Amino acid sequence: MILGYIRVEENAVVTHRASYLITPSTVVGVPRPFLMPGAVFGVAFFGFAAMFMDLLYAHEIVITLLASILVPLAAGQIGQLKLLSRDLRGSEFASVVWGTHGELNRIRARIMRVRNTLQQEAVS
Amino acid sequence: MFGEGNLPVTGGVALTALVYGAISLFVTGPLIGERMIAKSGWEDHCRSGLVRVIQSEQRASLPAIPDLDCDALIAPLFGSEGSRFCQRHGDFRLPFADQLQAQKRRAEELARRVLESAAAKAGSRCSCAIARTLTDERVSLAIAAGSLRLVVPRAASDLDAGLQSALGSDQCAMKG
Repeated sequence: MILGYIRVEENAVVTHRASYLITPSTVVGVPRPFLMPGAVFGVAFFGFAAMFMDLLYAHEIVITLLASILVPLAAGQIGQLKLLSRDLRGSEFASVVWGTHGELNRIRARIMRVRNTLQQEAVS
Repeated sequence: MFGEGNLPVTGGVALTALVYGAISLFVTGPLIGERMIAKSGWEDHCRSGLVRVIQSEQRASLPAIPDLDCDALIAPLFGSEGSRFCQRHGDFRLPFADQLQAQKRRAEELARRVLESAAAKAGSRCSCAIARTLTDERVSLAIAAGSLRLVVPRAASDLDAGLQSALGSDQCAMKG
């Protein structure tokens, strides 16, 4: 799932808000910004259920334990496609689109193939 | 001291800590405080204690009007002979005894109504004390909840003291 729109063309990446020229120096990354917070909250939920078991109702314990599993899993699924180059350093446009980590990774692989092709063309 | 690029913590970590703190302060802290009070049974003790106090105050303030019939007036003075006199001559009452008895019944009825009203108000006074304690000890409870009971401030472990203090406060006393 992608929030917005992205298309990889022969030498560019086109999104709903900007177009990026792919150059041999372009670096593509798909970080998961919510992975660590999600893990922290997962541990916190588990700890809360375990440490306050005497004060919580049974259904609250079950919901909290479920949240301790589902929150890190969901947080790990969210990714952000980033294009890094000299021109984009410090720019808000370095963050291209948000989406699921798996889908963004597939787009990253497509961008890398285009970049490698451009690199080979430049060498030859 | 720290530039934008060399902050000791990243924005994500700071935001996570901020959200965790806010959840502890506004959700989990008050929740565990409320449950600790409910588990201790303080609210029931508070209500019954307040009702007992009101009852004893009423007993002290009610006028002691004895029954003014023959058995109550003659028998204590003349013993068994007085009792026989009452049986022989039938029951009689002093003048105005009926009015006095009616007055006594009215006073008892009024006292009963006052007690019922006070019992209802005692509930709101105890609830006020709980709400006020949860607000006053919000930070202590947030520390206890947020640290997963690793750090429990004295105010959070001994909520009874805070509750008693809140019960006697002007804000809650007005509810009774």
